[in-house]
Amino acid sequence: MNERFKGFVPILIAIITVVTAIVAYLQSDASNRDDRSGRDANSLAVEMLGQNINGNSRSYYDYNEAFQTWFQLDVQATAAQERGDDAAAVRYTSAAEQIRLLSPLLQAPYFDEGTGDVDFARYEVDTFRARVTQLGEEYTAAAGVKDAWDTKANTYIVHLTILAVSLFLLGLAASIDHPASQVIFVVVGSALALVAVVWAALVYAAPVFDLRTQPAAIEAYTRGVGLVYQNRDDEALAAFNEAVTAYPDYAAVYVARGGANLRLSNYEAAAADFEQARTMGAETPSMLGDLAIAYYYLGQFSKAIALQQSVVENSPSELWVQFDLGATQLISGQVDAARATYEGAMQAAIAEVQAAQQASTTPSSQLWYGLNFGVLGLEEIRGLIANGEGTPDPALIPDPAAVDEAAGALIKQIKELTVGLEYQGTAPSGSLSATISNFTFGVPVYADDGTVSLEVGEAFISGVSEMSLLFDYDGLRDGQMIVIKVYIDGDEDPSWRIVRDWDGGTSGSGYEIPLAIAYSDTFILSSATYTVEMYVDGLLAGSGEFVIEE
Amino acid sequence: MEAAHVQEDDRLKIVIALLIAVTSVVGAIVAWRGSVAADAAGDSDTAGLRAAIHLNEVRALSAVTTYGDYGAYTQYYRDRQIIAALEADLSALPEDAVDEIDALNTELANVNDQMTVAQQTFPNQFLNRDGSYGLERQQGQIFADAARAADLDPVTNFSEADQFRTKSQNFLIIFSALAVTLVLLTLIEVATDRLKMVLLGGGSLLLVVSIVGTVLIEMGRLGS
Repeated sequence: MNERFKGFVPILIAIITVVTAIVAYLQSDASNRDDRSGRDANSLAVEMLGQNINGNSRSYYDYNEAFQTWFQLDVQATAAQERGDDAAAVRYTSAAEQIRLLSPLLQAPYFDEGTGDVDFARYEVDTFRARVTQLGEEYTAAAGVKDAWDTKANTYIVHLTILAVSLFLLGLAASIDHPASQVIFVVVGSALALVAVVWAALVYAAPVFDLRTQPAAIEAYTRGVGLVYQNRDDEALAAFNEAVTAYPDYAAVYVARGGANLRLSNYEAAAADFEQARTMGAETPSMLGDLAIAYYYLGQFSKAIALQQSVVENSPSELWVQFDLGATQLISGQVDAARATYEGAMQAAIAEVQAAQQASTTPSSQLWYGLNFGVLGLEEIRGLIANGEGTPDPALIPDPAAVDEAAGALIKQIKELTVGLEYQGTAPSGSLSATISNFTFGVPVYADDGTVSLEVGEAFISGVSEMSLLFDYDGLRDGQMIVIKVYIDGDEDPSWRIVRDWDGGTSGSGYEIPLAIAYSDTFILSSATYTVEMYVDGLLAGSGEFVIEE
Repeated sequence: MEAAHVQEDDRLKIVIALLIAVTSVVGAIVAWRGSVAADAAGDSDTAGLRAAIHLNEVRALSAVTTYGDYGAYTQYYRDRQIIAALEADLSALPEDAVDEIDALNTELANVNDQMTVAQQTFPNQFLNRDGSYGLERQQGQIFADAARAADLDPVTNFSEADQFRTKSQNFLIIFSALAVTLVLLTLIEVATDRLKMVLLGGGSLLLVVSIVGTVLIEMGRLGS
């Protein structure tokens, strides 16, 4: 019995040694693949960075130098024509035509000879953005492969350790004479070896997926991202569908397609895409925020609130999601909860600005985006209530009057906070002591005798090149900060913004502030609705709008 | 009979001891060469990454420099076109159009000053004979200068690293075979007489194959 046992142990040791050698080989192989993928990932990251800088430098030249020069010459030609200097117009037009030869951006298919517009987004996508996106996907794939092989290599080390312990126990069994101890060591050693072998086999069998083996899917995804960049969401959907067909487990495609569907108001499809991406582990605060928006428009307020609360909890810096949460609470009738959420979001904005001030930096653009987003969400709710139709269904709003009143107050509060943070670094304090009334608009009319009068109104015909704001006032003090913001079709145009100290005394009527001045022969106000707001020391004092008709 | 058997057993033990010693020495050499190859693979990877960084640095700097210069050239080119048109208009004017001649001359002087300034802000050596700008020539020169100062070829380095990695991997296979050889030679001690010869034959064959494999891998004739 003892002799047979003694003969069996060395054979066992021999087998386990061979297995150990195989596992050592697998470990080395996994480690090599890990190194190679890591190297590929680093190399792709560096190339992506280089291509991005290269492409941006080039497109900066094309737009900010070549196109701008062409545009200047074109405007100069138009101005020369307006004042009857045909020879100068010909000179500028001819020079502009020559400038077009310097950049592909000023050639077909990017340049529209009829309008003089350039399709800069398409140019950027064609020259470098598509390539950068592709490199980004390849980098992500290589990094994923590196992680997978790294995990395998480390797991094989565990197997090798177990096999070493197993060999030690079997060696011990061969060297001692106590039968019971020999049996224990052989049984435990063999069991350990068996565990290591089975485990190693499972690790070996687990496939390592490399997205780079799906070039058709990457190409379609890259094309889709490029189309999204050009605001061509409809066409992007087709590209994303192609990518999903080529590789159905491509999580990034579901995120991107969800975004395109959301912008196209395909809320159910958007929610389905985001949910699919979630099941694949592609969760980001931004994507979850978008999923909540899809739920919101589908009228699934409780699902949206739960999701937004979890995002706010995990990523408190996502200000826009906080405002979204407030909007969802408000529209679902939770007015007090909504007020508290908005208050929290505004406090977060104040804290971010103050932290930036203390660090002598500036807050991120996301802050202003978030504040603006908050206002837009509330204005949308007021629009739904006012129109009685839209998405989500206004019938789902439990107490429209209370919701509308709260939304109006919150809009004013957020707008005032935005101005206060921008110019004073804190929320405006106190209440408005001044009264601004008769907020109207007028176009200067120049008479032949040199006198100037104002044509006052709310709607003006196309071709207007100047505009003034007129108002009566009482209770203003010299030195108070006046901010005037102009929104063109709902979006603020910062080039119109006026910031100045008040010097017009305490009270008066028909005070004129020129909003747009025609310095050239070519400038006219574009056809749109212009909303003008006036702030005194950060507090909204008056607002009004005028229309430039087609 | 008994004495002959003992003598034969002694000789076998000496042969086994020699084979185990040779296997151990070969194993050590294989481990050393494998380690050197793995180290070289790492070095080539690092060199490749360094080359990739240099390459993209040069790409970026080249783009920033050349398109910056091209921007200055664009201003120069615009002014040159306007000057040419002004000169043509001037020559077409009758001599008695004094006011118009004065106005055009003033404009000509202003644009000429602008062109002179613009001309000084980009390297004139890249101006072609026809007045166009040699953008690709300038980029090519920047790359050529950079290539003289640093390695800009990551691909060659990476393929070299892959070759070294394969070599190191192959040495590991040889090392595993030598480990098995050692086990076979050790098992002779506890094996039956018939099995002893099988184990001896198998171990010796594996050792010879391993030695030949090592030489071929080192010479780059196997698995590279």
